[in-house]
Amino acid sequence: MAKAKAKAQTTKKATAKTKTAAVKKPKKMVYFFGGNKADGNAKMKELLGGKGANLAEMASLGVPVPPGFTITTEVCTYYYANKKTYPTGLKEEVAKSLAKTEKIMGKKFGDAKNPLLVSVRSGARSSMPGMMETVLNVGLTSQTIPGMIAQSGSERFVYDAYRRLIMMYSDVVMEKAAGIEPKDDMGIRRQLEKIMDDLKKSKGYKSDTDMTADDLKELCEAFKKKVKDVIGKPFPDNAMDQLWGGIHAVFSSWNGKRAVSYRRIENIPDEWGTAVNV
Amino acid sequence: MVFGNMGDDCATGVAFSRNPGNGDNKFYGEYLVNAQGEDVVAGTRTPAPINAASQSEHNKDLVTLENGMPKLYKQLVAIKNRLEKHYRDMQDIEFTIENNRLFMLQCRVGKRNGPAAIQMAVDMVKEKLITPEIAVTRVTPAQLDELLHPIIDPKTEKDHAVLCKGLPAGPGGACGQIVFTAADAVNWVKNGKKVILVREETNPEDVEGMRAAEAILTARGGMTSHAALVARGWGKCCIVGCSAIHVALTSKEIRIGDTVLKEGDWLTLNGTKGNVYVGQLPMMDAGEENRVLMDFLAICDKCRTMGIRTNADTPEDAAKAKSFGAEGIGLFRTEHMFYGKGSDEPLFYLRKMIMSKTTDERKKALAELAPYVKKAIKGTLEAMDGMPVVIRLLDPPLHEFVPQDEGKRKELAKALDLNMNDLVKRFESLHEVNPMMGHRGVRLGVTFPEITEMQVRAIYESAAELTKNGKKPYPEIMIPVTCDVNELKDQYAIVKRVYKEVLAKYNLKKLKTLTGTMIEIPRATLLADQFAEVAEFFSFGTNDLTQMTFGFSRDDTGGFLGKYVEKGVLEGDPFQSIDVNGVGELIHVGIERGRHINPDLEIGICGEHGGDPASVEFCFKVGMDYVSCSPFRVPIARLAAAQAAVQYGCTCKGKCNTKAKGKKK
Repeated sequence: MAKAKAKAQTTKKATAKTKTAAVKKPKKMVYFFGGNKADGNAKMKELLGGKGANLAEMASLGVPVPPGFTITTEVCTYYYANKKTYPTGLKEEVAKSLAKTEKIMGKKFGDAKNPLLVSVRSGARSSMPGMMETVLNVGLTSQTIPGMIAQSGSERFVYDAYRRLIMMYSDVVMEKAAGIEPKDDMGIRRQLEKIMDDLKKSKGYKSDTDMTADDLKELCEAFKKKVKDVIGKPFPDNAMDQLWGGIHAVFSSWNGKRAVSYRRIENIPDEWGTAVNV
Repeated sequence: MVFGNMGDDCATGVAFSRNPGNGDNKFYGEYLVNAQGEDVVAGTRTPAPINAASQSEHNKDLVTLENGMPKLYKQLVAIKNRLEKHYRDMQDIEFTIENNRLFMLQCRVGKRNGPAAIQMAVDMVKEKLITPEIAVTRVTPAQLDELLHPIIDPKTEKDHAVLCKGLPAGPGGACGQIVFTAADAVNWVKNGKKVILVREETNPEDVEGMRAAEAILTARGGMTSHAALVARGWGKCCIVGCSAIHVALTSKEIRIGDTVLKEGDWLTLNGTKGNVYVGQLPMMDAGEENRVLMDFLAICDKCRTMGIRTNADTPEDAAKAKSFGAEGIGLFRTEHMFYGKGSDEPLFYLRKMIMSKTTDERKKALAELAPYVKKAIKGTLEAMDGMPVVIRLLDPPLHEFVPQDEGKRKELAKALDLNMNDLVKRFESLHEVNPMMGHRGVRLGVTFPEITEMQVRAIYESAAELTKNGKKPYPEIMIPVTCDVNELKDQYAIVKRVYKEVLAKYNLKKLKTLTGTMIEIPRATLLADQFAEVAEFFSFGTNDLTQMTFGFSRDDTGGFLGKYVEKGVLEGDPFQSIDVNGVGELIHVGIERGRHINPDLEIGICGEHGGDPASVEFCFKVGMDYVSCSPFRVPIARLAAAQAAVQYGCTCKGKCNTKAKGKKK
């Protein structure tokens, strides 16, 4: 009781704060890491989340990490305090950090010839394993796919990445973040998994790795059709739309059902918010 | 981003710089060739071990990273070492290999179960990676509790056939009835059942059910799967990747070879070994004879300034508590000898004493009772040789000892030469409307001084005889339920007189002893300065103090307290964790006023709160000299006291915590 009390009081205070005073636009909203340098460090968990802070620390230590950037938890707080809108200037800061990432990777996001793909991952102050969303392979579109195939030399790899993107994105961004609550087993991800299982069964495959490039290509088309049928919207074919969709979904997942119930159990305050790592 | 799925020179994996399941200082992890990160955690493919130390029944035929990509493995080990040294803690890392190039995608302090947390804390102190002060903060009381938690009785387990084996993801034993969904787990537990949640694999939607279940069993997934990770964080018994199990969700049954089990059937899990058994196997307490635990508690003791005593009523309990590291007895209840095994004779004489009409009769009965009292006290003082033993004088209301049994009543009537009518009349006269606030504690001593005298004599004679035998007994006589200093003075006159008489009888100059009072009535806390003029120690009886401060009868909170906590009227059960704002304030006032008069006043606590970590922290902050708790809670109290000292105090062994840190909060 002694401890619970202290915790409860801080929670109450924090709630009062977010409700009464408008959350101000944070000063620096995006922290870059990569190329053995980083804007942040391990001590900045509150601002960058655990993952972001440690990625920054590792980059500074010279440990190889893929370059990227972290959008702060303050942006998450602002987002919820301002009817799910972003502070002005965020787009510009993201663009700047994305450009730095492109430079180190020697690739360009959305580029037809030499495309860069990104992952969009959540990262709260204290770890909440599996509670919040992640979207991988963001940036694959009809424009960038040929470039990706040329660059990697593997059609199979690119379509495998694409089918994963469609599965994750349709589930996390188009369904969960849009507030759609399908009946049991009727979620888009489940339905797509079923298509994939049927394909594997019809061909007698045991593992995902048995699927050929042609199988995967066919699968992606079937996926996109299903997404359109179930959700009523086409799967986005623009890299930037996918990126912001992913960011939006990570912020939304902070208030997803399972994240909220996990926070209850672990006594994590609702006000902490999550960061977004790209 | 970088890709682990571009071909066979690509891979992705999850690893821990030390084994999170048992704490071994061995790099531990799983990986998949040509895959993206989600595949490792999702359990859709069986991940391969990164090295020999990570092999299990499950994956021993798969190629390790060490053998498959030796150069990259070496690089990964170097980075792991660097990160662990930098963060000075076990790291949980995610990595991806893209076309033979290694990238780290994440590192964080790794979750671990209790045994692993303790092993790592002890090892890292030995390796000089961390200080003892940091080591004690690396283990939570709940994690320590895991080691003290039940395991399957090994004798019974030996004779049972293992149904199937999985990976030991969460240690300890558990048994419960099979349920297949998280929602069922929650509902069954609400109805008072114990369940084991059996899943193909768990996902984040299952957390509430996982929390409710006694244990979790999955057919798929590795040591880094969702179920393993979450269970480890909670210290819950868990077995994952038990591939022999086929879960049929629609028919709510599982098949293991020819065995079919249905919802509601009993299973017992050994999460330390990964064994699954059919039926209910008996559980027992673990924790004794655990070398690493002893080492860890020794580290705690180095950092701790507050003493830890135990509540024990028999020489056997005392010996047990000593083995757990208790440094004395904070509460020895004399009335214990009137309950349970071997209580027939002393209880008969006690009843005779209660029924006595005249002082002479009572004195005669007391003389018959005295040898029993002395025997129990002497045995306990001897078991705790050299350590303080706080002996509380008779506390409960006498009517508690009135026999209900007709035969016992007749026997008593005969012994007292009374007819049954008179006997029943005597009984009726003892009846009280509210006995907990009735004729008990010091009130018995004031009204029947001969009862106090008999007990005090038994204590001093025990001490004198032990001293004569070269022992070092240290009794502290505690007078219970006082509300006014005059009660104390009244009893002290007896204590002092008997002390002198015993010294003379045994031809001794002095005995090491203290006399003090139990503070459990709010009035006493407010008048503590007066009490401190007489008492040499205070012991806060926080069960009664909470009862009387709240006005809640401790035995009658069932009807409302749950609702109170649920509705947020109260933040918690004040009988479990000290109510800092109310009861705590009274204690704080009592200590300040008492120490103002007598700075050397010894102060402790002997309620159930002594074993609650948050309450132990409170006791440290208000400057108590010791906490006393039940024997099995002693290790928890040692850890909690060490953590409080590291967080709020200095390591000086004096009473600086009482003076510099006397302010609460």
